[in-house]
Amino acid sequence: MVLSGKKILFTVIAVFFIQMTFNITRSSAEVVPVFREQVVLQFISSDNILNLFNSESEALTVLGNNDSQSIWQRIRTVYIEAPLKVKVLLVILAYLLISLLVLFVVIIVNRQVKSRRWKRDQVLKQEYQEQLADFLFNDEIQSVAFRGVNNIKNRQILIDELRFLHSNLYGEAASKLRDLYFDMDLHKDSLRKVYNRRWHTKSKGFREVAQMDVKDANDYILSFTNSKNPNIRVEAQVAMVKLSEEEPLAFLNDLTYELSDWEMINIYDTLVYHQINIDSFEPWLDSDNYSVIMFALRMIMLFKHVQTIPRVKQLLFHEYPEIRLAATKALKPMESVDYIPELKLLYRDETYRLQEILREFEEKDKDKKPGLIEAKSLEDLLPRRIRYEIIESLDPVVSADDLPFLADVIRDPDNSFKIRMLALQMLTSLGQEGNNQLDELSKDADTTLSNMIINVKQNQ
Amino acid sequence: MIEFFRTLQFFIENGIIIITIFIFGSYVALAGFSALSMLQYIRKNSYIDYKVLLSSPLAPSISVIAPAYNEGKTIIDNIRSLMSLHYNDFEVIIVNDGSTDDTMKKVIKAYNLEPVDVIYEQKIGTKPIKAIYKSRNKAFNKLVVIDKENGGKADALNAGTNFSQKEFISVVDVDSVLVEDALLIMAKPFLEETKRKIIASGGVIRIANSCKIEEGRITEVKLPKRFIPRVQVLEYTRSFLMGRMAWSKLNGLLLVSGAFGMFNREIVLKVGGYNTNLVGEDMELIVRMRRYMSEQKEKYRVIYIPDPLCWTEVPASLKVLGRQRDRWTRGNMESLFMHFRLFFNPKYKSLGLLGHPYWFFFEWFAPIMEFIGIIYFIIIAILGIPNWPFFFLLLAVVYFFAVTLSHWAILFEELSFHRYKRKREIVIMLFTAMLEPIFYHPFILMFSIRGNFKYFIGEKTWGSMDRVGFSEEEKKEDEDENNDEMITERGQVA
Repeated sequence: MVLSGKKILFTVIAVFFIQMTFNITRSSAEVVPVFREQVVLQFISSDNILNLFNSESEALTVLGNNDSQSIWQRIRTVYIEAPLKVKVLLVILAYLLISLLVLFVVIIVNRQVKSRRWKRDQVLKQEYQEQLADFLFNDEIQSVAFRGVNNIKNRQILIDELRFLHSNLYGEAASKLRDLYFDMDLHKDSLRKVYNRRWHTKSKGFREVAQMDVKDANDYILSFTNSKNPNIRVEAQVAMVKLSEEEPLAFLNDLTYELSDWEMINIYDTLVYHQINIDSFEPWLDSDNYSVIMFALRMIMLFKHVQTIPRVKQLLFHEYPEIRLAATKALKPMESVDYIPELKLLYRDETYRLQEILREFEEKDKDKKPGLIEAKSLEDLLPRRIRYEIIESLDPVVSADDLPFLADVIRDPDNSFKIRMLALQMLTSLGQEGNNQLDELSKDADTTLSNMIINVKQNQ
Repeated sequence: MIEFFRTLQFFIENGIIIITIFIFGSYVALAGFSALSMLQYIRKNSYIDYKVLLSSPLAPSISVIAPAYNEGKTIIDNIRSLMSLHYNDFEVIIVNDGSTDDTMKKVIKAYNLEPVDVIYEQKIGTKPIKAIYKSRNKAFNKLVVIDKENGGKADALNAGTNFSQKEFISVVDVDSVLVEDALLIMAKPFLEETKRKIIASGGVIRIANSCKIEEGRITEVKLPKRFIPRVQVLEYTRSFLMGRMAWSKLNGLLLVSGAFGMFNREIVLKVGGYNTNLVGEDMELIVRMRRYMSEQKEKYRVIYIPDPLCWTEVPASLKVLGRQRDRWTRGNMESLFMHFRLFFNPKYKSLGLLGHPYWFFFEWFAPIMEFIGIIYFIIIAILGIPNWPFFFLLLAVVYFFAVTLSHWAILFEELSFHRYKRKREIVIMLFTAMLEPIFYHPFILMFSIRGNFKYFIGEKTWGSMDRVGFSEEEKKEDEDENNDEMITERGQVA
């Protein structure tokens, strides 16, 4: 970097001003100049102390004419006599200096301790891994003695290693690890965590007992499946899915909180990973908790529970739009013609709803002054999404009988580009009849639709 | 007359003191909030297995949109890095924003791309799209390259948003390095909330200068060797770990860094995407999204993830730093003044009562106040009337407050993610904190004032840095100055 003379000068000036300005807060306090009458400390010499006062006589009054006063006594005297503003600044300064020193020491010591602990843990972890591998795959080794397992932190390292290995193993190896976990009484450590008061420790405990199949605390864990703390709740739910032998999802019956997507993902993952079979999700389709209904619908979709189609069809007309959406999605993998009429009916209903929302919005918009944000209401999103999902769900089962319906969908100018494209693509999957319909549509198509048809034909 | 000046003096000096107390107080309060919030976050995620999202069909779909302009030197590695992110349902949309170098040529060759005939809706107007490419190689089926005419970063992001059909869009600077689990970690908070819609989330931006990067991955974290990037490590740590974490908790975040953020695509489309006429498009989008949600009476949140997910190179020279900071200042001003209706407007709740006023007073107005203070001090120094002892006392308080706050930030980093492993690095950081107020802050103030000046004279350019990264000429110049350290334009720190 080449610095010109101007820049150097500017830099010097800037550095000079730093003596009085900055910093972090970009505040200007630093440059606060000062009131003549205010007293400030300069501790170094008695001469300086005298400078703080308006006159020598005032200083003598305050300090007394006693040369034998120690520096600390003088500081104390000056502090006592200083105006409030100065006192406050002095206290703040003292606090800052002390905290700076403490912080400095804490950071350095923390780093030192952490580095040492990290290195030690790594060595131990490596050692445990090797010993566990020997134990698992060497038939001659019947028992194993781990170094330092009397220490609670070391035992935690061992538990983590065991859990990790256990989650990646099946069959005999997994049960061998589980036996070792019990033989070493490590399950007691996990249970201690389960009964711990702190939510994060408890959550960890739930994870451990679930992974290692410790069923001693099932009733206790069950009570947390409806906890107000969402972090514990999800861990308790996952643990119950894994540990409860008879009714893994029984907690859903009494759930008063909304199931989040994160909870649903975790429960689903546990069901799949541990190959837990749920005969039917239908009982939860009648739940008072809408999120439970949505969960059940999603599971029906993912596990393709064809036997529940009749009940799912009823939910297509549920009052809650998210449930209508989930029900529509749930039907897609079923690939059955049974639900085509209902889906078409729902499409019509959603179209009315959408038109109503748009009409209401336009009414409101009439009186509105044009603002910065011209965007439309969010309310149209769900009907639009449901209509798209209806078309998607019809896709695998569409037939020539549905050509007029699809043509209406494509012609509807209120429909989004995405939905019209999907309907056009569905036409092409219907062979000659679909192509004839495409040609028919081309005749009275506007430019956008024409381009869409051309594109669909090209990609056919 | 004398009385008038005395009264004026009284108001100026006391006003400055009051504002200072507020600023100091706000920093301490924010630090406290951040500490609590971060503790909760770390505890909550200490035992989480993000892998459940990897294979789940219930996980949301994500489009990673990365605008590229003259990135020929690094684009291949950058794309590889993005493609190797751990996530199931995602696509990488690279938007070549009319690069004048060989960016497109290299990408086409390296990823065996061919133009495809795709028709999609241009919900947001953009500069014309020349072509859309996909790879013939199925291994790269997640990659889409949009080649378009140059229109700036905002325009490129709008083009990517138009093309995306996924639930979320993740906006990334193409030359930033994301950690492999970045999308998993970013997606989780969107899934946890049941009562409010998460409309956007931002990640911490960490500084990659001097770090070892191999094949688009950070393999060794090192503290920058040079002072300017190093001091930015402190600045970013303070800002992200001590500021944004608190704002996230208070639901007052006004900014998601342009270097890495995730957005609900539908809301972005509803508000019309990025504003292409601004230099601070990332902040303005968040303010507009928030304003829109408030006006729709929808419960929403903008959240912030403290994990170090995105690593990026920052300016290593004063020249480029200056351009970046004056642009940030102009960006702030654009958003604050464009949405001035929010200012102390209870209708917008935390946005109107907290976020906007805070940014107005402490981010925009504070440097101006500081500047006025300097001018005022010069005048009274020339007049020979300052009380020097009091001045030095005050100076010491301000200096040590600044250093203490930086040390707290270092402690936060140490207790949370401690990415700088060497003891020496920590000691250097602690000493850098002591130098920052003297050798760095004055320049930042100067750049901020310059930004204000440019804003008021109506300059709305990115300077010669274009929209992302910087031109080859600058890159070369900076490389000459800083050896191997490159500089780029990044999301704002505040």
